[in-house]
Amino acid sequence: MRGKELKIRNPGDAIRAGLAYVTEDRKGKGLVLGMDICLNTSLAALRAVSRYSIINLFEEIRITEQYVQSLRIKTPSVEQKVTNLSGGNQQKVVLGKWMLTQPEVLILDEPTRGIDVGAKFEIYKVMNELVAKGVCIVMISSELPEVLGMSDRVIVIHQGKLNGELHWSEATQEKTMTLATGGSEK
Amino acid sequence: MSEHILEMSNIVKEFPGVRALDDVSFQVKSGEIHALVGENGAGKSTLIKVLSGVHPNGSYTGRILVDGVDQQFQHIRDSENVGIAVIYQELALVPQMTVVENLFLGVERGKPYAIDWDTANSEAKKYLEEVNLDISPSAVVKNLGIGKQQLVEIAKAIAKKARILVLDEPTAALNEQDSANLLEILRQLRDRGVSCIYISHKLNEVIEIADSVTVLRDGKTVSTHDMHGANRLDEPRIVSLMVGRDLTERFPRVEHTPGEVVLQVRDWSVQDPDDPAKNIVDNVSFDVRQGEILGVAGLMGAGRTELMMSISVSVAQLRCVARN
Ligand SMILES: Nc1ncnc2c1ncn2[C@@H]1O[C@H](COP(=O)(O)OP(=O)(O)OP(=O)(O)O)[C@@H](O)[C@H]1O
Ligand SMILES: [Mg+2]
Repeated sequence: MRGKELKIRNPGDAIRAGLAYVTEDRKGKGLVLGMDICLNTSLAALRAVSRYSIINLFEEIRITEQYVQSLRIKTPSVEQKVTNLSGGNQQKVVLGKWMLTQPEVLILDEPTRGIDVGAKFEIYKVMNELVAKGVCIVMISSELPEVLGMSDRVIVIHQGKLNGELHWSEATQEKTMTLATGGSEK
Repeated sequence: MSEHILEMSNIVKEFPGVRALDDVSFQVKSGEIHALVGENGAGKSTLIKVLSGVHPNGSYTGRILVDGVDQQFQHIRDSENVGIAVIYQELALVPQMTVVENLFLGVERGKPYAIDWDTANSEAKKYLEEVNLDISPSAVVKNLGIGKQQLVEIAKAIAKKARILVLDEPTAALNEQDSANLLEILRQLRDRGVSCIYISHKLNEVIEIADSVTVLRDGKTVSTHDMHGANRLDEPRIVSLMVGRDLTERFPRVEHTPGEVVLQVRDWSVQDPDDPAKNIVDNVSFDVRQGEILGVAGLMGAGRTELMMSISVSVAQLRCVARN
């Protein structure tokens, strides 16, 4: 990989783990790091592909309907074209799709951007459900209340460097901002 | 002249299976900032598309009056001609072109066969100054940060003599400083008589900037509120009007018990694609445990996305190699 190598104590574990990266897929962002089809599909399908060899259509619709409900996706039916949904509801579909695959590591990059307050709460609840099932979630967010409100631990990055780690019980808005702007914990 | 620069009344707009706007009435006073709020799918963007002519006259029912005069917009150009400019979150600038080219795209200055670039440049400077942008008109748009691009869009609206400026979630992708800057520009424009319709899910900004707030729910107008009067709304009140019930809790915190380490990252660095001598991610090490939420905080541009995206791509590459 560009820069230094990836050192995972047991690479096999990390590979088998399955990792999903979910970003708000707005114009331009998807092009930051060009990925080929193999990578994209392996990212998108992950477990769903490796675990089931037959796609069960009815099951698929049932699970989708469940997610439409729990994420409060406003749509006349699950067969609606995503382009016809409102901006925030499109974002919920992206989130729901990845949450469905239940990877071991779910990376959420600005997951609630453009999402209304009520639906945010529902998304947080789904995140908690996934965590209860053993999924680990890494959440990048520029909304400080959201990071502090939902995380168990917070790492703070400043100019590409790790500048501190806080347990949620000690992570205040001030401390986090200090670290984010290059200051030290003391 | 009527007190309202814009009146939309009894607007009904349907899509197959969806009544997106169900008898919506909405009035904007001259020289005010009017926030439009509502849940995802409430109909905010649809209302704006009706106003701008994206959904042409005839595809909806109801009336649109600008300065008390009935309007039948068939095309975006028609609404632009009466001074309506819409800025969408997906910016409409041409990234490869310069600022001045973007500003006057479609309305090039000068003689029919030759563009008068001297005039265009000096006019561009004037418009950029109005939005407090200290950049060269010949700067290429894609090299500007998202916050500056947003301001170029506003300068473009000013260049088109916009009197009603509509912003649909303008600050969603902006950092705090750029957002604050944008709000300040909107205040200045308002003080010069420009009316502004402001759509946002960031309710703290709405409270900060709006003179009036209209709440939409399920395609219907719930109510409009004066934000200077005694009955001005606070955030919890806006939320309950939006969702139709009180929302007391913002974050459902539950105690998690982190298990074994699932992902261990050590000395992770990523080169800056624009400057190989620099690292945008520099020597980062951390663990992710089973059953926990790890938050990654930092300012925009700190390298958080590059960090996590590069890790996920590497893991995916290893998976592909392992499979083949
Ligand atoms: N072209 C379309 N075809 C079918 N349905 C549509 C179309 N455009 C919008 N809708 C529907 O109209 C409703 C209102 O959508 P709109 O985009 O106006 O919501 P919004 O208030 O802007 O939401 P958000 O906060 O998510 O941006 C939604 O149910 C949406 O699915
Ligand atoms: Mg919208």
